[in-house]
Amino acid sequence: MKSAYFPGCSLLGTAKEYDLSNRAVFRELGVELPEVEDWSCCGSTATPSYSRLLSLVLPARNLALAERMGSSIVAPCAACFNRLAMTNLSLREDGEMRDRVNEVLSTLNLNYNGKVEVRHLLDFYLNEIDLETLSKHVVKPLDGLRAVPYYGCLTVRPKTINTFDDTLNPSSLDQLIDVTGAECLEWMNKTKCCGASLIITKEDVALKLTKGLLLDAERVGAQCIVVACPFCHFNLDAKQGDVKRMSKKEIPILYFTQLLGLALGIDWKELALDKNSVSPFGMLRKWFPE
Amino acid sequence: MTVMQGQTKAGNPLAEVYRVSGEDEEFLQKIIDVEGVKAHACLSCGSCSGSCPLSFSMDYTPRQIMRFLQLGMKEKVLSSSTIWLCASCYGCTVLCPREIKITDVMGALKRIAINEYKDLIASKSSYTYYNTFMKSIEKNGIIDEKSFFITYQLKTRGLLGLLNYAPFGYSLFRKGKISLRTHKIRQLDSFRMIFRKTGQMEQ
Repeated sequence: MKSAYFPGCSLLGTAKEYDLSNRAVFRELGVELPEVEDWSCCGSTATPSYSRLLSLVLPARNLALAERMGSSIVAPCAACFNRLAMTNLSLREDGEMRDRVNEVLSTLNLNYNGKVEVRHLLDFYLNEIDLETLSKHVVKPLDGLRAVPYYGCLTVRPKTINTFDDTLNPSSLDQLIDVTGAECLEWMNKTKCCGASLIITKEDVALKLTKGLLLDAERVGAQCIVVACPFCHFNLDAKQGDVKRMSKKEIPILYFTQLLGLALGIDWKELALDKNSVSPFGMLRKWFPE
Repeated sequence: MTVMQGQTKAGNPLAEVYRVSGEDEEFLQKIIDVEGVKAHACLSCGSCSGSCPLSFSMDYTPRQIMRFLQLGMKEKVLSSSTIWLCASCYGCTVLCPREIKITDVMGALKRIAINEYKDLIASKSSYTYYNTFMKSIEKNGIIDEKSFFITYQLKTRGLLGLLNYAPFGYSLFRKGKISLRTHKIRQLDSFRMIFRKTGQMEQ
């Protein structure tokens, strides 16, 4: 089946480096994905707290658009992936609800029949592009770089939508780190929540969770944290300056597409490494002295 | 809570076991109907509270909320800080040995509080957050992060509150992550009909 890219709202703004680095890696690999035509917000995890019907209709509009293109959806954002996949599941299982949702969509001349597959970008890299292809393209192995993989919550939970990885001990991100030649360290916090959905309403509480993650990464000797979610990145990277820690040492937070891009020999500008709040250039000097 | 005997009106298993009736029973039924939640199946084992990364900040842990639900204690549940501190991370849902969709329960409780029991809400800023979020989607078809954030801060903390974030905003602006241009989807007029239509259907 063809695939269509669903960037999601964050990738137009605070997560621009995720979008840019992903597109750069796609270009390098010759992967071409059209965007879902005129996609709209998935409603995020906030919408189910507001209206049940709307929380299904907003993702369903995008599912219907992808279905019209005859494509599956590839979503880089954990919240988009979660809402699109959860909605897909609900609409496939509950015919009555699907009729209600289609009644709304009919005002837009759209209809959804449940034929679209929703995939997280990690799934796409691992199972569509595959590790062998990736390793063939590695020209600049990042030997000796110590990284911890951080999945966060919605990429791998709940298990009803995560068909590509283990829920409690996922490994997709680990495998993608391994491909770059970097050393993927074990730690306890792979899937612990960073509190990003509370960063606006309960900032002090959210930053406590963020602090725990940063301290633990430091404790296991990681030089950087590798993520696959725009909200995890925002909390750990952009808000890192607001986390009161004993140590003054900063930990760069890289999107896995940035790490992959470096190993594939892509220029740092194309990977938008200058857009990260915590600069990764000091850490990378050993591999890229220029 | 009215204690009564025998069969309840709705035949709700939970209401029968705990003899909840009247308004409290309706409340229970609402959550059970919508989310397929098996609240009566909860054993109070505490897996949810143990796995919840935010238990420490809540007035009642998720396990306690489930128990209050079983007892139909509507006001206690809807006025708790718990529902606004749930980050929807699905940690509890994954670990629940009774397969109760606790994350969805929290979502349903927030929804009921926002739409029907505004006065009980413990976190007024969360109420503003959800309403502003939905209005932002309706306005542009996507979330324009800066407009959303500015509107939320002005509504909850006013201009001075917003100004606290000025240096942070400027740093994001310099990195090109905030632009003066507002993104909008192309089919905005038809998109907005979604909100009107769902509103009518949910009446």
